[in-house]
Amino acid sequence: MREPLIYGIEEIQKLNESGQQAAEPHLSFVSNSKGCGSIIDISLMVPESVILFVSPPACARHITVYPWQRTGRVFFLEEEEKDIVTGAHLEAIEEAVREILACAKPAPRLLLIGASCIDRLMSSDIENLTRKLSGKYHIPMETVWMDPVIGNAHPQQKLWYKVFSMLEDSRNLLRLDAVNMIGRLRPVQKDSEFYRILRNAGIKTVRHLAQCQTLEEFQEMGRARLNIVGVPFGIQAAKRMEARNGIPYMQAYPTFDPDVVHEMYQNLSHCLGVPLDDGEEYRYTKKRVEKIKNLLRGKSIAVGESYAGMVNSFQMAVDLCKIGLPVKYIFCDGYIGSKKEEITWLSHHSPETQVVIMSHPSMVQVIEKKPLKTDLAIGTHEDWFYGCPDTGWITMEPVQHDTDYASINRFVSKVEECMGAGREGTDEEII
Amino acid sequence: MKRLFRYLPALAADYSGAFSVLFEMDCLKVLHGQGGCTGNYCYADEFRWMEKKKNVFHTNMSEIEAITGNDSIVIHKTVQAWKDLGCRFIAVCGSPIPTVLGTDIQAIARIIEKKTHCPVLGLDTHGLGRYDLGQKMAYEALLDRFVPKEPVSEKAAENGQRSVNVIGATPLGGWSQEMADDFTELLKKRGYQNVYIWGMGADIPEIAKGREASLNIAVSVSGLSTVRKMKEWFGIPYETGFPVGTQGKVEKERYFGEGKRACIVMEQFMGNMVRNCLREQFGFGDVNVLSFFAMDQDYMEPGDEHVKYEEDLERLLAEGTPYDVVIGDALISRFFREEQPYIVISHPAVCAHNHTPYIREYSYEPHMAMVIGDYNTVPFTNLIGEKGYYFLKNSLKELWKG
Repeated sequence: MREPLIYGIEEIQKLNESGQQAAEPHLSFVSNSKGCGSIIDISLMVPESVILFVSPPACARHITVYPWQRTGRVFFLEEEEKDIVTGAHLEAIEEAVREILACAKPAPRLLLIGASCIDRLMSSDIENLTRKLSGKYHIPMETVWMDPVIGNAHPQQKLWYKVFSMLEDSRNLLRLDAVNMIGRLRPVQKDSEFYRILRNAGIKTVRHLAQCQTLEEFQEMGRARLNIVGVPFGIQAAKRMEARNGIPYMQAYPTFDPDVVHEMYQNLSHCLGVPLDDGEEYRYTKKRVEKIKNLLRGKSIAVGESYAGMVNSFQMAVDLCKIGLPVKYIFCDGYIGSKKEEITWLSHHSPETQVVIMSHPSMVQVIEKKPLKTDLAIGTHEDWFYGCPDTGWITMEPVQHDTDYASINRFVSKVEECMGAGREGTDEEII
Repeated sequence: MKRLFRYLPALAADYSGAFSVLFEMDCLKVLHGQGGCTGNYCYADEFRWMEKKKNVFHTNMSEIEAITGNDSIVIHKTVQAWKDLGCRFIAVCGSPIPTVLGTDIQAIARIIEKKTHCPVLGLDTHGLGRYDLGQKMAYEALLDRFVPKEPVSEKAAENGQRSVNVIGATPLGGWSQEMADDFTELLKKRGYQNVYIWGMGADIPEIAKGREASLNIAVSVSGLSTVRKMKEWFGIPYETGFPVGTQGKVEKERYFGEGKRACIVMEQFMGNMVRNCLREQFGFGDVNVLSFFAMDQDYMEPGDEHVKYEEDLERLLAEGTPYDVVIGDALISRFFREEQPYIVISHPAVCAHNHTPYIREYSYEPHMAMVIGDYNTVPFTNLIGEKGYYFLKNSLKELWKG
């Protein structure tokens, strides 16, 4: 059996610079950390909407089995084999729309029609059909796609763009004292200092799409003063809102480094034109981070990716190295092209770090024989990648890790618990 | 409207069924498709995924490969993975994407086999059928490929007197390991030294001895075509189903079911066995078995019906007389009236199983008051023999206490 595909960080840098991939084309392991992009979950965030998903049953399985997807807002129209040949499902869509509008309670004010790779490959003109049905039934309708095979852009990136394109042109409207959080799957945690710091500076509303209760509130997002983009998937949507809604944006990606959070607040202060006072939290968090450096001295750490946690495990490694916690293993999906900066930094400052290509079949060795023992493992939704019973595992889900001191403090508490009791730190125990 | 699912999730697809059969075997399982396609199986349909070997991969198909029909990359990736991992055989399944493209999965399988000299099964799943179809394909492929067709030698025939093949049991169909073990025990007490449950314990060496068995048992409809073929090829007799209820004399709990009607919504053979128990040991009269999955005409009774979509079930319930008790997956309870006494027997091909801890925190609350069983804490119900009897007895008692 082949040994697991593990590279030294310097090797990865050389591959990156030469434009090569981290591995030759290979069969891929499935990872739940990144799923299919949370397409239904994002669609359901749009308030007062329902979604009709049209696809083969295989495509719709994982987007209809969760209880929160069965709250009366997700409908599934099953494509049959004959539809591949005849396209008959396109006619069935109208009948399904009629039935949904008749039975959905409360009555939706927006209907999303979702489709999969299959209809892309068949060139089904779902957009045209959606426009026609919207006109016929006098209800706004939009098309969303779950199509990972098509194009280079991630389906989540395309969906954020589509969702925020639904905002009306608000360039000439008065700005509200509000900021939007764009791109993350969940709102900033309620216990975050972010809300208080901004409120003290006169920003009354911090809004994430999932917090909008009505379409009017959603449209108010188009009048915010600033968009804060929490993940690269949201950048295109933010650019669109800058052009169409006159809302500038800044990036604030999740981090373990209090200096990065402090820099974020300074940047935010500059963008908003108001002073922001984060001094107390900054000093407190730095002290706590300093303490875990002692706790983790001589310990080995592995990091991995997840959508709700951090999508860039190389950035996680950079953050941890900067706060004095060197990373032994980076579990990544093999796509290293967009991570040049982080890889270069790590090769200079943490040359002992190794990169594990999670998607490669050789990972079976890791899972079965578990040679990659570390004292602490952070991120990557599946603990079975780390699997050693005495490895402290910190999940980065379900509580989202944001760009704030509260997230870093939560992380520190989990580390303290893991290293103290040698068991998994859960959010229920910490919060 | 037919084909519109308003309450149920999309049901487990055909390639999930195929992989469910092959999961425990020393098999490199390849789904020609994308990550999400495989994720459906691993994270919604495979209960064993978190605990056992995970030789399930996808071909990570790109748009260019799809548009140009470049199958050589699929072949190359699979051959390389086989070289890296080694395995007894390979199985290549199709997802909706190659179906649209008209990809010849069988041809891909043949080419991979030429390059690796390793047996390769090409299964024409397409993600448009349901899990039982995929299971059926997998069983038939295993029989066609690994069971020798020559007549059984005398010595082998003598050994075969102590063997039985059990075909059709998978976790996706509601079989837990405990249930498989109990059934094995029961068959051993019946005098069978070797019990080979295809897909739950039996790998290729055991399957290859399949023709030496003196009995085949199809415990679900998906195994029926295979046992029928083995009867035709090798003359091996077959039975269907498995015992639910106590053996020998038992005091009939007639007051539970006398004059009462029941409806069972689950896989046909499992439903039939539960029906037998309800009638023979609880005195039920009219018991109908309905299923969202394939049903064989030979094993249907008047009143049984294949309900392919939600609308079919709703129409049937609207036209018929109300039932005194309904037995089925918790999610199906949604279609019955609020006061309906309901006993939950989970069917993973309907309800799915999500393995990550935070998903399990979300509990499903059936909309009715009289529901016995909990979707989250009882993912499988062991119906074998006495355990099945006591489960039904205790559930009926609970429902009609006082």
